[in-house]
Amino acid sequence: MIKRYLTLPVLALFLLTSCNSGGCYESTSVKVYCTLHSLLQNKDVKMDSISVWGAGSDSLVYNNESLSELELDLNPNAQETKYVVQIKTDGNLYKDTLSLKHTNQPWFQSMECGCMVFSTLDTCLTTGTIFQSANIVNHQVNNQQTENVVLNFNE
Amino acid sequence: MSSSTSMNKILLLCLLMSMAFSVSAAEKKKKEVINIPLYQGVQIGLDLGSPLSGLLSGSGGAAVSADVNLRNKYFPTIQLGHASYDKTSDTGIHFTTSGQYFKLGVNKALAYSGTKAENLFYAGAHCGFSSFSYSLDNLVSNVNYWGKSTATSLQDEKSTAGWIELVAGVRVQVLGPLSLGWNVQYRSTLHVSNGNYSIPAYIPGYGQNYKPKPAMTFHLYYRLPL
Repeated sequence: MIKRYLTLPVLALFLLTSCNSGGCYESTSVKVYCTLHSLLQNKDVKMDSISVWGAGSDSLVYNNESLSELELDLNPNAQETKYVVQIKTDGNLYKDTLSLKHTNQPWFQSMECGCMVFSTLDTCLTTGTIFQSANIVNHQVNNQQTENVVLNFNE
Repeated sequence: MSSSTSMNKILLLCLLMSMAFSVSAAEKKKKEVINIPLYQGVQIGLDLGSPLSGLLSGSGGAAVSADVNLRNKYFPTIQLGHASYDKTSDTGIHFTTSGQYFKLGVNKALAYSGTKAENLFYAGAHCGFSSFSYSLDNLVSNVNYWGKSTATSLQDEKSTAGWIELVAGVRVQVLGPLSLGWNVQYRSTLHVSNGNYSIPAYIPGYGQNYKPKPAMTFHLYYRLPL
């Protein structure tokens, strides 16, 4: 009688095991999301011909693109990250430097997803050439892909 | 997609259980009504799978269980165990933990033979709990625009976890009071508290922190002469 039931657990284990997987299903992208806000129009807008690169780096994050939002990495080994933002308007180039001060903390997600570095934004400053001000709307920079900073400009 | 997979697994378990219940019910009709005393003895179980796993992989443990046989029908059970886990990921992250756990539950005999249910096919539900700490070494973040983070460690991260297990298994008498048994389990966490800066990759008594998680255990049982 017992033998009749031996196959049931075997079948269950086989099927359950075959369905299990341990891949990474979480986003591992950790970025500061900056929206571009026009003070004159009082709404978020898209800006044309934007180029962005890290201060001290010659590698472009954006190259002459039309954007409504900047997605920027923070330096996981520093307390301050600077980006140069350049726009081209009427043949003229304007540059602004975005300075983000932050504290970093590692976050272990899983063996498959690995480790990320989350940050807390302390301050965000601009030089005022393009962006008149910057407001931090969410200090926590993690993998939730939420808006962190609003960059205000007078157009 | 994952919810439909979970539903399929639940349906599968329900199907297997219903098959066993229906067969068991038909057999009961044929039996005469016998008045079985409430207390039918205690069996002590020793986990064979975890120590074996420890020999092979360096991550194992030990567990002992006890269950009370009530009318050859219900088997309230308690299990105490210790588990350790030591694993390095493909990216070099080293995770170690070691901790205790306990489980409480009840099994129901779906079919048995012997005056004390020495041979048994059963299904049951268990709750597990573990409070443990763990460490992570060589934590390096994924590469971004500025590169990787420098390697760091997290020591003594603390966590607690609770889970449920749906169980189906057999126990067969091999020699006198000794029995061998194995079961399959469908585990799912109810609550896992994260460490300050991490999610535990492994929970003692539960296994790798996936939800749901299938498992299988092997036990050697000794029936107390009481």
